[in-house]
Amino acid sequence: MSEPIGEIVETAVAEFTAQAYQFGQSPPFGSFVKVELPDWTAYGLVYAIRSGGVEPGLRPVVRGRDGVRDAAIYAENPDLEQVLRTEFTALTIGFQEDAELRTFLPPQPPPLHWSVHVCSDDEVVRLSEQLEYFRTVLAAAQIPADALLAANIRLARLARAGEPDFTLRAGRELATLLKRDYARLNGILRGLRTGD
Amino acid sequence: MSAADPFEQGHGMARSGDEAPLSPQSSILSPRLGLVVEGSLVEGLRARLDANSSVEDMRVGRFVRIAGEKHDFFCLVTDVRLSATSNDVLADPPAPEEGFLRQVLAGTAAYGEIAIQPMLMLSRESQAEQEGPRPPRTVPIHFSSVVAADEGDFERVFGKEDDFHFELGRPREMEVPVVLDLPRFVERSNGVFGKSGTGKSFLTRLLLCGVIKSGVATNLIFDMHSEYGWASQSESGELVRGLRQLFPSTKVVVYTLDPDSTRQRVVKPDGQISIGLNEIEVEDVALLQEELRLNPTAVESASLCENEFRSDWIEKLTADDMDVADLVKRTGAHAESLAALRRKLIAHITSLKFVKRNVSEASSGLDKLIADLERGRHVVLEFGQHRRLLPYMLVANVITRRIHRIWTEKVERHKQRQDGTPPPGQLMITIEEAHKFLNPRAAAQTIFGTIAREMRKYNVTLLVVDQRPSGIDDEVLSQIGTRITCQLSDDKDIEAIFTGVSGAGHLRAVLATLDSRQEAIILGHAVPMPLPLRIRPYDEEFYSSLGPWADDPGLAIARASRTYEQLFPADE
Repeated sequence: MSEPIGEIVETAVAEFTAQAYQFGQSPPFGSFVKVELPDWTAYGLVYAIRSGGVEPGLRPVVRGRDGVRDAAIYAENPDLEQVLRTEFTALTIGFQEDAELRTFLPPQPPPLHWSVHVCSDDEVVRLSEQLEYFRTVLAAAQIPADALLAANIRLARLARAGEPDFTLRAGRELATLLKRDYARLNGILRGLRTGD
Repeated sequence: MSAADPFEQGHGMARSGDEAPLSPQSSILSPRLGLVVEGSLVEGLRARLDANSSVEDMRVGRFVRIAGEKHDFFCLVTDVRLSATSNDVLADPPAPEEGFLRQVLAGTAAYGEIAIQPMLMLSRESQAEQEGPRPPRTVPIHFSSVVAADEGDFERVFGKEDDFHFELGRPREMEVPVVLDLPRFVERSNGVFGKSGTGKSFLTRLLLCGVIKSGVATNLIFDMHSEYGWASQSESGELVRGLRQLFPSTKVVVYTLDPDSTRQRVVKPDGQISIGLNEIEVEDVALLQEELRLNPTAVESASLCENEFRSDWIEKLTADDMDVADLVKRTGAHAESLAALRRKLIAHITSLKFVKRNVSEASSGLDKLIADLERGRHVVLEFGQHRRLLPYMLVANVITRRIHRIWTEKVERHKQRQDGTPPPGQLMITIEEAHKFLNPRAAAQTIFGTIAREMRKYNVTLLVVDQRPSGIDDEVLSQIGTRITCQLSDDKDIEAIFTGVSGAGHLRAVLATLDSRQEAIILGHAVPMPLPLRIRPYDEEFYSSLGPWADDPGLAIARASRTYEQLFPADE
């Protein structure tokens, strides 16, 4: 089992938010993450990453000055990583229960304070065998669903080196799901193409 | 990955584009082309093509199988169409350089559809399998898989090649013989149609070879262009073998009306035919009405003459010392018509070389020919230089009338005695330019019309070869059992081909796709369902399939013609 990348700080059935153990160390946008519980495992797609102060309501202030910019700011202020935090939110796309992958929402959200892990390449391969989760993503409100899917497909493609036509298969799945919305489909497909 | 792995199932699902049998019983070995989405038995079905089946592979006329829940349906593709899930795709199609977009959209947002007409259905229960396919009485369930028919499917529907099943050709998309049920074929009159140059005579030759080899019927071929008996040239200029070269003389004999022409080709006819004037009846003249440009009154005058002189009517009427005015007085015929009739008979009939004053003078060539037919020998009657329609129609009608009489008598005798007198053998008469014999006017009064309509009962059927089926009487057309049709371009002819065929509308599109050479659509009594075919080539391989005597006819001909020249030197 890999080291966890974060811990759940806010949870719901449809999505969960975790704080990364290391400031700035969030899994990439569009990647698969999981929460392993004794009886079941929740899977999610990272759709939002935010960084801010540890204290809610306390905004970070500007630290740069002449000659000290960007990475140098962190070098000069080693305490920054203690007072800043990174959070990421994952959209739940399914769960595994009784050795079976279910592509609908779990009956309960993953509990608070449980560890969130990044899925390994093998898991990505298996999760992207069936693309039914596309439907969940497309239907989710108030998330950048189109960009999320494009990013996810690009990541999955890297893991699925054994299937050169994965992007095409994913594109066709999208085309089937978005048959009534050609403009949206076109947008996502163009996002996939530019990755080539 | 263990069997319990949750992803294992998913893996299988991901490949579902290739093969996904809906029913566990159906063995779908062929790749799936698409899924049935809607339709009706009457109007045909519509199937959505899978993303990986290209519309360009779906030729109209393709034989496909639909694996329904309880039945297999054997169908023909009758139309191919491009569709889209939304009009937006059509309004904003991906440009040619947008390869990925095109690939994704093809088969999903924009997809192909095929129209399918079920022709036969076969239950998957083992008992029904033995009974063979039946006409469809229902349609497959929604989302049944449409698969390309494989060899096994062709065999299940058409049967295998054997002594009585003759390979006529192969389907366009695969190398599997499609066979004709010969006993069923000769049971009824048949037609070979197609515009000129599409290979009708090759097709006819193939059919004749099949019938001769199997022995299911005896053939009489009225060979207008002398192309069936001995070698003749194909359209590409090659010499192809005639029936007499492919079968021994105990099986096939060639008679001629024109011994000179036969001799010029250094072949020896097996017999010579002459027609006695007293064998020509008014019916024959009526058939030639158009060719002789006679008006109906002239035909009536002919009847009056026949009443007056009986069978000698032509001889008497055309005699030099005939007093026409006196005859008009005696018979009440129309003077001018009678004179015209006389003039034309002299100009066109009595002047024919093979027409003799009477039967005894004509000797027994015709009797010998009929005796040969009765013994089951196949007869090719060559016309030599008499290749115009008039002598052809005259001779064919006279001979066929005689055969008709003999066969009818024999069958009646067989029926009355019921003591084991054998019925006459099945006889198939091949005529070319059939619309001249079987047009609505002629069919009503000539022997060919009678045969086409009812001679099935008397074991005589026709093989009509024609390029203008629309000229043939509807009633006759509807009696034609098996139709083998090469390319036709005239709408009226196409219409005629499908006279009396149910569900013909769908086949019209299939007919329209035939190549101009070596392709034909076969439908009717001798095949379980219509199918477009690539006609089997008439070549060395075919010759050798016919039997040992076809092995080296070249040698045999050379030997025979040498003997012939010694016996009948050219200057004689």
